[in-house]
Amino acid sequence: MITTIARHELRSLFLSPLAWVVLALVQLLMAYIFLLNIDNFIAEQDKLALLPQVSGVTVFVIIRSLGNVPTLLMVVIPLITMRMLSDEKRLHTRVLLLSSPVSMRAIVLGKYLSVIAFFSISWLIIGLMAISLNLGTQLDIGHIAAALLAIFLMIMAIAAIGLYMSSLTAQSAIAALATFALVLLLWIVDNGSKFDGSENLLVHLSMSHHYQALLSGLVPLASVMYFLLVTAVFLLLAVRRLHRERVYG
Amino acid sequence: MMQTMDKQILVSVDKVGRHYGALTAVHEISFYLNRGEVLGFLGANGAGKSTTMNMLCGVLAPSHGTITVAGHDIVKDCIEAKRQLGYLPEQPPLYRDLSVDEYLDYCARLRQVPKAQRRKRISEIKKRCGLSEVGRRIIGQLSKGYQQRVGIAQAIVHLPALIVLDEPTVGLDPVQIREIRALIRDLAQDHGIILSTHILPEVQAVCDRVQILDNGRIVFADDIAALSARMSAKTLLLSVRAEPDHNALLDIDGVIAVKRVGEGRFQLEIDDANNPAERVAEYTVINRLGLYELIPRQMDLEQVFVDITTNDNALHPEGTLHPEGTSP
Repeated sequence: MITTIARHELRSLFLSPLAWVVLALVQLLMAYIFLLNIDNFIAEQDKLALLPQVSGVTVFVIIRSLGNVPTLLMVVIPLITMRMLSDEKRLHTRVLLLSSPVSMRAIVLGKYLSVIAFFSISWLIIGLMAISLNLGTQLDIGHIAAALLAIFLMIMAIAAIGLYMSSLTAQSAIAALATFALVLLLWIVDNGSKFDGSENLLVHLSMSHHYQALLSGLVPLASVMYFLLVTAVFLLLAVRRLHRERVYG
Repeated sequence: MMQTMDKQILVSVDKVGRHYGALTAVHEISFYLNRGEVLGFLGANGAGKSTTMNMLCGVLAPSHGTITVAGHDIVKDCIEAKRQLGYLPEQPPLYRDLSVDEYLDYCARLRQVPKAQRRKRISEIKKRCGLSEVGRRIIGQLSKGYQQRVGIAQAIVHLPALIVLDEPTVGLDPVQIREIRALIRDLAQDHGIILSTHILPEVQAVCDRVQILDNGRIVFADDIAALSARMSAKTLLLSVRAEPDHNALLDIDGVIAVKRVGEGRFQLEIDDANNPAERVAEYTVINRLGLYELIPRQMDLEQVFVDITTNDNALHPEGTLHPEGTSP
């Protein structure tokens, strides 16, 4: 059932120009950022060689480029998730799902899976782009893998938040905006607390903190768990919301 | 409960009610549906028909009461219950970007039609609903009539025991209406059907039993014959220039009741077996009342409907499930 719904959602996604535009723009922007960083690297190569601690291509080009990915994801994932549940409400198609022998959990997971599958395409291309530099030089594959894991976890978390927001309203624009706002809030929530240097609760809540931790090449379990937890919580909230709608809606 | 007493009962609704916040859309209603029966739900807009249908199909949970479909509780055992039903809501749940074939394939998968049968089943259903020619067309580009048929196809693709149709002919032209009604009668041969409508002749055309809903209560529940019997209660419309004596009219043999409906206009309720038309004419002529109109009237369904839904003491013939369910 979950795969049936996921397949249907993917098919519907690719019937709309939005999906293609999102894929193309993510690709275009990432390619440009990548190019800029490579250009930079070539220009500064001589100076870098003089530094006592050599940060190679991996950090200077790839990790720097991947540092920009969250901003991109924050904007494009809500655009894809916004319609997932809100349109079913607005176009009265949710009755088809609700009168079929499908659990609410399967509906949410099926839709969620389709978003993940969709952004896996972007994720894969970004990964390939990074690894393509291996043709010319030696890369720290482990470090890149950690960074790609960070991106994938980020996709998972934002998609779950987006799906929940989409379950709250019939207006897809509101769902997109609310998702963006919440993700941005999670991203910057510890901004002020960095000044006093203390590690407080806000730091642990901050998405950027955990993202940076993974991007540095380590894979702290706490950071992985953070993203998985955010994902699970918002998926559960979405299922709960569908149940509530049946009872009170 | 009921289904243990009678295997033939497909749906049983027991004291089901539904609130939206402070608003009560459906009061405690109870009814049942046998296999192979067509039950018509009549009611004005906002009478609670769609809410009832949505509850039957598990789209909305009832605030209280229980609904069982083929022995499965629609809330506790919803997956099993939903396997047994197909639903065409008021707004057909169509994905307008998909072709008819793609859409029906998705519906068949959702309704768990076994893979081996899927393709054959879809082509059968398309044939039955007159969709064979439009399989590759995009749903959003089809006419309203075809979209409605796709909506019906979606509800029957898994051959459910129960088919629930909410206003299936609304917005269709007369030819399409006839086609859809023929399809419903055809389906009734091996499915139980619950049909809602506010078009009265539709009920007469396709239903075995009727329930009239008003303000969330069942105010009439009986078979079509009983409804027809109510309709055959005849009246005479009498128009005279001079005002006659009310009691004198009532004294005429065969006149049961007299109601003044206007200046010199009277509605006489008459005994069908002992039609007093001749005697009424005689009376008016003898008394020089200036008779200019004497029209026999058969009550049509609209009148019966208005009568039942507006009358404070609506009649509750035998078989009515909730005699207390009269309008306040």
